[in-house]
Amino acid sequence: MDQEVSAVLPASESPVTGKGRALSRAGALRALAGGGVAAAGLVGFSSASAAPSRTQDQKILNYLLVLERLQAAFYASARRAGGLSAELQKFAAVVGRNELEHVRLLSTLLGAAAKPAPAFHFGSAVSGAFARTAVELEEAAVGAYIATGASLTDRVMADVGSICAVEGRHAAWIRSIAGVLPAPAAADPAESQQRVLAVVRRFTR
Amino acid sequence: MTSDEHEVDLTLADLDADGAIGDAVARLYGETRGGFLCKAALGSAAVAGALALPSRAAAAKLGDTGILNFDLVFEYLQASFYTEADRVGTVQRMSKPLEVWARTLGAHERAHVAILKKVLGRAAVKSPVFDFRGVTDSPAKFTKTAVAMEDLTVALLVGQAARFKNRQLSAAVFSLLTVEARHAAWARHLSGFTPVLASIDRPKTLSEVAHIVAQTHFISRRARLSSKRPPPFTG
Repeated sequence: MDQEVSAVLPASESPVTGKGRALSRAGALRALAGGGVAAAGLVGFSSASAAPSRTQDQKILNYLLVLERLQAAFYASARRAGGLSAELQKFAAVVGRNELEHVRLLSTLLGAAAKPAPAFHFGSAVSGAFARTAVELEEAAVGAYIATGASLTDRVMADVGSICAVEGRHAAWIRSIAGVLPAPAAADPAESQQRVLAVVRRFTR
Repeated sequence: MTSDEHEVDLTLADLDADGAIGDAVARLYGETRGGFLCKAALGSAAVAGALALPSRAAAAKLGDTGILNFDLVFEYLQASFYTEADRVGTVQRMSKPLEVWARTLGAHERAHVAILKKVLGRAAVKSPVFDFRGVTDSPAKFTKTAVAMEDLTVALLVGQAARFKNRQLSAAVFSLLTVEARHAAWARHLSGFTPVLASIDRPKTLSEVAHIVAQTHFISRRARLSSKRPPPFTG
């Protein structure tokens, strides 16, 4: 079974689109492998093949915590700025509440090891570019969770899975509002830490 | 129009025509109890007692292959559900946004079946034959049931992600559970429900999922391990 398993590792590119082409094993490998978690560029993290550890948990959880803090701050900032449609206001209110809860949960898992929040600056991203930015942030979060989730220790992985699913809901919801296909792939790809942190850095300068 | 209703009643009743889900339940509960469940009269106190959750040890003994096969049965169910609604023309009768939704989800669930069958190889259970008993004939019933199924699948996969011995399987399940979560949120949004149930998606164990399905009286007759009928659709 191990050889087939490598065919379903989350890839950083070319997820299975589910568009009905015959999925030969070679095709599955081409579509999904992309080196799997290792190619997701987990700079600073061990790959999924390294033994999970509390120290690695803390690195991953702090990485995910930054993303949740970023999202929470973005939605709070957007609500303060005003000017959102009723639909987007409701989205920002509900999802913002979720992200604050995610910050609380991840901080609790980390305890004293939780890193403090950086200062975020959003500019026009919270008004004219709100929907577009929200899609970007939610997709970055989904990709980050998929890239790192399976490297966590068991109990923490279970907790993080519950959070990860909700990020998937957020992504689909805002895409649906924005008129973009909510579920673009049959299997969501992992996103590299490099690309995710590039998104974060746009709002921390 | 938007409702804050969070819970949608599951209407998976009578879908398990050839007992495929019953088989999955039997693997959890043990053959003796599974066989008893299939023979006993529905609604009897004996059945209610027998549907008590199996021990965690029994569920834990399943192993990676058993867990994946349970997931595969659910993906067969979903794939067949969407495929049938398309086949009988229900999807075409829906609004354009719902039509796109239903067709996309059908493609995804069929892809999930393919993925899990590839991973399981010879250990993969066969595609069951389902009888959707009119649910796939009605756009409203179909959509409502789809919403419930997608939410349940999220809970199932969230519950399973950390249970695999092989962490590559956990990684694969992460990338599938976010898609099922998208499906659920998308369906809810189109149907006028709030797309997010809560800040976290609570997991359900295999035995809890089996229990939910059992409560809908899907065990309508003795389970058969194979069907002589050619499957009208296999997703």
